[in-house]
Amino acid sequence: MIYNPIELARIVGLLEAAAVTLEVDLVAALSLRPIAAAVALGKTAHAVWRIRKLQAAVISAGIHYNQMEGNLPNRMQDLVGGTVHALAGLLANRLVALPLVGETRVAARPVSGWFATRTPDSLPALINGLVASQNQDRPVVRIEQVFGAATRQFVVYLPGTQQWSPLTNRNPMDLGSDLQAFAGAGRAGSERAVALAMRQAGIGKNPSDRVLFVGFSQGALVGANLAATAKNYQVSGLVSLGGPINQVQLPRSVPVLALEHKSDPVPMLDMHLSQNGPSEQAPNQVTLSRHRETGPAHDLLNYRETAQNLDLQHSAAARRVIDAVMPQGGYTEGRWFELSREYGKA
Amino acid sequence: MSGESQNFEMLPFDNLVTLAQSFVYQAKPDPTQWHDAASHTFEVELQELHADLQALIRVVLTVDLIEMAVGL
Repeated sequence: MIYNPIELARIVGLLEAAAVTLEVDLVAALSLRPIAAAVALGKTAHAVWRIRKLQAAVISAGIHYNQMEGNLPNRMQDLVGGTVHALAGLLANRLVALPLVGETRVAARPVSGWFATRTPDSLPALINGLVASQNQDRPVVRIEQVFGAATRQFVVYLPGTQQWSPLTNRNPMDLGSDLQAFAGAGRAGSERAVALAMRQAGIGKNPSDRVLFVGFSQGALVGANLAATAKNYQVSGLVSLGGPINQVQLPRSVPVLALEHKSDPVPMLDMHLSQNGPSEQAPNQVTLSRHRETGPAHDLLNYRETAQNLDLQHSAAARRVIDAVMPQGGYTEGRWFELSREYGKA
Repeated sequence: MSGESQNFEMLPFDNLVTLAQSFVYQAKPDPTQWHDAASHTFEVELQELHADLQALIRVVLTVDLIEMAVGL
């Protein structure tokens, strides 16, 4: 039996990391010669099965102990679910110095024309654009252009992780992208695909183009990486909802509003403490940490509800940052771009 | 598919098994957080798994070399 849930999460997370790495390996095995590939496939699949069995035994031991202690079983479910997220952090620490495990070519293509839409004028309105992206049945990002100001303004909405296996399908918003986004800018498939979509939307044609990134979870991290490495455009801000963005070195001039639920483990994956107010180093970067009493902490709809109920009466810095990031103008057009992983030669 | 694309490569097979091994190695139980007997049983399982992965690398590399030698 395991006495401590944190120890349980650590063990399950590490075993998950080993299993996922071996699952990636199943694809790498295909690059071997025929007999070696057959041996590797059989033995690797067996090793994955053994790891999964061990995981189940450890989880079962943990649940048994915690039930005896009177804890609710669903607390354990949360814990085990949380290890999926913890896995990203654990793996990422190992991946920083490594080549691109499981990364592929990526592509982006517009899947709609430009359509008129409401100009976002508040934090909940920005989150609504993100909810619309998250709710699509395929991997898409929404890019809006806001007209009316002297410079061109864009808003890029970046949803969170949609596939929890790096091998399942063509969706680049997957676990593999999570890991690579942690490991650094310019690596994750989702990030590279978003960069392509932005270019197709015309962003960067004029170096004075201003871009606001609005992202949830992995999307926030992708937005932070893009904001940190922007070359052909200006970054007007980043809105992060439950994003592990603290390890990304953003320019001081970029206004950042991060909204985090205190019980959400994902923003903690970067192993950095969130800055809860502006500092001399980052006067425009504010984190709002709020308690979430009901429902899952890492949930976009719950973040929207928290944003709707934010009381910023005593937070002048947050009000200032929200004002700074909000696009100015009277007419807005949006467009959808589908992202995909591509296999084969470039 | 229309649109632009970029390309990246994967790690070789044996490097990935080594990476998986390192995760298995780190999953060693903290004895202060486990019941003694369970901790021991689990550690033995991990050691066996670790050895299996080591054997996997050796076998695959050997078979691969033999295949190359005989020109398969």
